[in-house]
Amino acid sequence: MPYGRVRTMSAQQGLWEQAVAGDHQAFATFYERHADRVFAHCLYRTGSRADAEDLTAEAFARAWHARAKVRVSAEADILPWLLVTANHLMLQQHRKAARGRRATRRLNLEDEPDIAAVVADRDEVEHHRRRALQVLAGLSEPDREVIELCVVNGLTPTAVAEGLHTPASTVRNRLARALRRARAAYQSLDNGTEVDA
Amino acid sequence: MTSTPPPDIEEVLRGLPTPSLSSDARQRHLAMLAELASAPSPRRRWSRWRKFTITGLSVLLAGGIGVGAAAALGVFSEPPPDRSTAHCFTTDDLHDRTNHEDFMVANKGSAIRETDAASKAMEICAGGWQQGRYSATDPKILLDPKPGPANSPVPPLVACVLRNGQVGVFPGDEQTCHKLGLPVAEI
Repeated sequence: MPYGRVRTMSAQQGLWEQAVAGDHQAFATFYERHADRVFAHCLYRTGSRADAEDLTAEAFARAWHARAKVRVSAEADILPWLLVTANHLMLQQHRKAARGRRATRRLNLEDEPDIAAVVADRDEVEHHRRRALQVLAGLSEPDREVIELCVVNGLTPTAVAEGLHTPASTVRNRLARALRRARAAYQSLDNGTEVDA
Repeated sequence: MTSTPPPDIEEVLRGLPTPSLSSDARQRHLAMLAELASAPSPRRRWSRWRKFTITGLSVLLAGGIGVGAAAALGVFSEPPPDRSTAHCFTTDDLHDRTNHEDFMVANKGSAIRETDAASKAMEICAGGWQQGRYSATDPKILLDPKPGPANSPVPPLVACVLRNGQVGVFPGDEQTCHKLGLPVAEI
């Protein structure tokens, strides 16, 4: 019975099967669904809209090439895969940038990506956002990644686990540990600078 | 004296805005994905030793010819600037970190002419001013800007060529570029 398996699939898993078979329109649906999330994720990490646009395009291009290998979860489809791929691309880019810093200096706009430049502290909410992003940037890569996936992007540990081929309990434990470290860093940052009202 | 306790970091991170891709970038990405989909599938893979041998020999041969030819012609020079990125500025200050944002006017690495990059950049930056994203009274650019008045006035804008060859669009006129020590971009 050729369609027996399809009945047990979620709609998005069915759509992903079409994309895997080469249906460009089906793949474009996933692009429309997640492009802003991937873009925001890259923008918060790089501080550059141009880099974030480019990384978003590259992450989706990789997803297209690797579509036969990407596992789609019913809960979060390809988003965890895209975000982690974007992280790998950013790390590669960062290494290249370290080699080619001379070119960056010529730009005269400057050096390292700075979250402060994109989340200016105009009011209290922005101030706390900037602080939180600073804390995130100071965490280890695994801590940062699990917080970005589960907290910033609102994915459940089960969805992340399915997307990354990891047990859900591992993701939950990693998340709990990462949040503990993030809270400690956030509090110490704020204790040092908080001004009495 | 009382101090407000800071909010929980988890709560702050959950409330981060999701900035959107520009419609221009979205169109470029979809066109790129359509192009990928229409490209022929990669051919059958060669065996590892064959691939290794042929690639190695080709690289050596091509490298030798390339270096020899380049040395003979004296063409070791600066690569052409990557004009695919351009920048909108809200003030004529190159050192302020919060008065500008960058965006793409073409796919990364594509050979776009200065005139095309400058016209596209002028168009995008004028749109930013018109939508109230940029403001002369409040020049900091936020990720999550408060919606400005629709059809806000667009100041006179000028496109200058930055030191890396990319286009920067500033409020002002040709004098603004000269003041910054930058050439005016041709449109």
